[in-house]
Amino acid sequence: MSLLAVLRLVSFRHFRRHALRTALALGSVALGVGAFLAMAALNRGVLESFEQTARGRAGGSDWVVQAGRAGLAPALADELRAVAGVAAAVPLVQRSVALAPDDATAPLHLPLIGLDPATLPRDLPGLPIPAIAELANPLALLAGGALPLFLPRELAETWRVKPGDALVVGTPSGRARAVVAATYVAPPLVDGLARTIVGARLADAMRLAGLVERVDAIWLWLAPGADRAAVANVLRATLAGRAELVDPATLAREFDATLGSFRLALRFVALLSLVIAAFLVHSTLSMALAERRRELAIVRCLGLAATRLRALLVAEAAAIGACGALLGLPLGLLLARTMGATFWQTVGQTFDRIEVVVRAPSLAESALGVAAGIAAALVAVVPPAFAAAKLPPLAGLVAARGEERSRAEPSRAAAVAAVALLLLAALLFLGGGFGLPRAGYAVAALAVGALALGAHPLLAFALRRSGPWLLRAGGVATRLARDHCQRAAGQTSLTVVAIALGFGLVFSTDVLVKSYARMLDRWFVANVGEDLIVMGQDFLGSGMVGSDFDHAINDELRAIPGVLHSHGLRFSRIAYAGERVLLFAFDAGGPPESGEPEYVEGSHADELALARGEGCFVSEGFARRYGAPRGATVTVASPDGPLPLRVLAVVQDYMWPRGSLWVDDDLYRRAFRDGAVQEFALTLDGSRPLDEVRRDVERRMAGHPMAITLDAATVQQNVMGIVERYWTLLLAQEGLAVAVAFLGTLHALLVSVLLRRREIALLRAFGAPRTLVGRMLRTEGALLGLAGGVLALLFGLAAAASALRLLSLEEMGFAVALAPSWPVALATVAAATFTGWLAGVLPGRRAARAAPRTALLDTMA
Amino acid sequence: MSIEPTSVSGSLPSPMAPLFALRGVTRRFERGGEVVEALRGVDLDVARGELLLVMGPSGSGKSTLLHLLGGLERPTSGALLFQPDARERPLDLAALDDERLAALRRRTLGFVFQEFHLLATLTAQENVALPLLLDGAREPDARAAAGRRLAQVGLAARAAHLPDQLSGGERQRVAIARALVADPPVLLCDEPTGSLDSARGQEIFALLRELARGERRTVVVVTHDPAARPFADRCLTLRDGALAP
Repeated sequence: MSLLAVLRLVSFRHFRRHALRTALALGSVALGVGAFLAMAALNRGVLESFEQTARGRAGGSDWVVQAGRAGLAPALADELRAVAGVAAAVPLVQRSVALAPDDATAPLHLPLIGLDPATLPRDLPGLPIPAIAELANPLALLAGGALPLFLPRELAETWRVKPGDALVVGTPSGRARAVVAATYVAPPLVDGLARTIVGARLADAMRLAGLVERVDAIWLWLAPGADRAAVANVLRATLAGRAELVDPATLAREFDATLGSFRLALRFVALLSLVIAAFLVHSTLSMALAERRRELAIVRCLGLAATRLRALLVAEAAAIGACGALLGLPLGLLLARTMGATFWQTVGQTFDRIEVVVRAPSLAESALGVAAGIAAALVAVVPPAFAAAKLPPLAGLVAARGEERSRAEPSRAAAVAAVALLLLAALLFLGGGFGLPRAGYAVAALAVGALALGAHPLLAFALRRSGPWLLRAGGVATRLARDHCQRAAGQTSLTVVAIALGFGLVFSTDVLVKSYARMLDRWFVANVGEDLIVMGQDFLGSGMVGSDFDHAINDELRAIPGVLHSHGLRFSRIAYAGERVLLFAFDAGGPPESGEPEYVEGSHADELALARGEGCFVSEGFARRYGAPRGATVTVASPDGPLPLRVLAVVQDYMWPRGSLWVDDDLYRRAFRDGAVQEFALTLDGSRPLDEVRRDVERRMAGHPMAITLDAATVQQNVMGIVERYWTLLLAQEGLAVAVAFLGTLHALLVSVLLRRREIALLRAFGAPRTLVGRMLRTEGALLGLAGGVLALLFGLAAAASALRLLSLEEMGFAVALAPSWPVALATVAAATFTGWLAGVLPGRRAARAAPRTALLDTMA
Repeated sequence: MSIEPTSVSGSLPSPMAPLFALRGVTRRFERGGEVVEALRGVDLDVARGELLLVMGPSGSGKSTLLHLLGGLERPTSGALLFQPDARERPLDLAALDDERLAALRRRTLGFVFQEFHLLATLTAQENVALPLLLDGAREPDARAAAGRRLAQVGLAARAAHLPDQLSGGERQRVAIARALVADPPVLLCDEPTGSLDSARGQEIFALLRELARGERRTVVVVTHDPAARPFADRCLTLRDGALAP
């Protein structure tokens, strides 16, 4: 009862009196909780979106049988249907199609599903069957051999077409005519992309996709009561290495894997953000306690026992944590929506067709967020609260009389611990993580620990003997600001660490982006020697799936005057070791002018063997992930069963996060019976201007509504643009981190003013002008910012290096070289210094405004 | 009278026993790497109901002595016995745990600080009520008691004012009211007139004498103000941490 009364009378009155600082403390908790909730909701949304996409791809089936872009024979469905326990096997064409109502309208890339309705299972609940809204006159469908397509009613209404009307459709061999066979209404449960699916009969879809005796996938349904695992084993045996049996749940993992480095960085940055928020809560509450030493000492002198003081401080922290966390709920909702929208804007349509799901934080996540906010506040306050309660009652009063120790010496143990953590981090880093999982996170955590522990000794060391020259260089205000930093180095170092973590996060993200970008840029320059590239408009935005072209067009392109060579490129994602890797087919016998890979193992001489179809090249990531060095044999599924390929060389290639296999296109067409490509890469001989050749190429491709012709520089720009767009989401988190760092610095300086009321009042009483006091506080802020900025560079480099080397190696099989931008490094230090200076403006004004006598009396209350 | 500091439980209660008994009390501090001896082997008895004046120059150990009597510090060596109830055994203040010392400070030992030490966020009445609230009193009761004490020191009209709205003398009287609110048998005052003019100082000393004689309270006052002498029952002088003969 008395604790509540004291809490209400002493604590809440204190919070009310220092409303701004209380708001800052609440803001720190709210930002931390908000970031936590937003990240949780974003992650759940991403996962749900992948699962929803995967379910949509699987059509509600139990398994999907697939074999990369080459597809599989429809007859395989009959074999699978014959397996005991299989209720239905539905061969289907499932891909993107370029469709327009007429030649004048820009085509839309829409999902196409072609299947034979007769093969669909009967009496299986949950199968979403669309309802026919309007059917064309059957006679109209027979006219001119046009491909009959089923359009969603909303699309037909948008295009103002009705059953029987003509459509223009892109096929691998060029533009073709289609006809609206019917419009349909998607079942109410079907949502998102599924509502835009264009339907076709299987035979028509195969014609449209240029598939001869091939389909894209087979959906399989398990018979009621059948043993799933046993049936799966029989199915795998029946497939005998010709195709892959995929559980729809694992398809979601494939989508997740496509985001590779980006998701990795997102997780890394999210974790760091949370650590920073927690640290700021600690810093804020520690400083608040330091400032209240006198007040707490008075209540101790009046008879509040140490145990009850601890309880009081813990209750205060719980109240701040709870209020801050509650404020964090709407912030989390807002951030989740904003970040979700940004995420899908940059990612959702970049890699394949993905159902976009933006989720608000769930009730459970919100409860967890509130609990985390309270817990963070409690954990943050326990050490300083216990330390405050341990002080004898008089200690705080002595401090208030200005008789505290003039200099808080840094703890030797803290310095030793910081060095030990740094050495451990360096050892773990240089040792490549020693095979430990997630060693990169451990290195970053050790760096955070070393920074938190080492900042105080480092700051004390840096400030030692700096007084005289700072006085000469910056005048009295600078000297006084420095003196206070030195006198209160312990508290000051908390602020410095907050700034270092906030800006270090920004700098490390920039290093991550720049390093990845430089790696891709170098790879592009080395590997892509072609001058012109023809591809589907949807190629770059579909994770290298895109529209197909007939490989025969390659010969026609080669015949265009001025073209030295043309590659027909095939990109097929195939199953390997339970994951999805990229099978890349190209003309290995092409001239060196068309680009040369950078060899990790092997040399240019191995290209001859590759051109002869004697094996494959693998990417560095593939070789490391799957243990396939030069000379090893990798076996992939093909229509004729397992296809062994000897690894002829290991090359640098970053096209796919799970690694890639390169084969000659002759071998590919022969082994996979696939005559389509997604890209033509043309090298010119220099005899004609590029634009002239491009016009000829465009003329040749005019019959393909989805084809675009770009020069290599534009493609490179587009690819780099996609990479850079990916990272824009991190900006939101960086913004949060900097905001929290700014709040922390502002709070620290406000507390600093309060702690120094007497000193400032004395200065004013001795005749110091108001401007000097203001300048002193701004200079102090700038000094803290400068120190934080310098440490931010060290921390940012360490964090980025551990992510690029250890996490990248673990996740993708290759390390990325660190490529920091020194202008950005300088800008980071400048921005941190400016932030500190800015944070000193308000406290400086407040301090300068106080009348000397009032301030002196105030300390005597 | 002799008290064995190490065998408190063995000493018999006596109605004539002193309220405080100090035997060979020493207090040392470490300041700037040097050991400072604030009190050196002080032997002292404080009788019940007396107004004791402790005088001496700055740094002589007066405040340290008062802090020891108030349970705010512990002696480095020696015995410090406190017997609030003459019928019970004396308490060894050096051996009491924090909880029991805190309880003594709430109920038995009223302390007036040289620099008032009021909480800036609380009104005069709330500052005075605070010790009762810390002791678990209901808030209306605590406020009523605080109001009475403020009236006693002539500040009823200033009850709702914050400390920074009060003069130095008024703050001092609020601090005295706070020390008295729990009706402690002992009042310890550290330079209570240090920041007051002589007229106000006289008023404060008169009030303290009234508290000692009228309410049978033991009052120990540390001061260097010679004008306090006429109000005291006894006057001691400390020099360099030791009682002057």
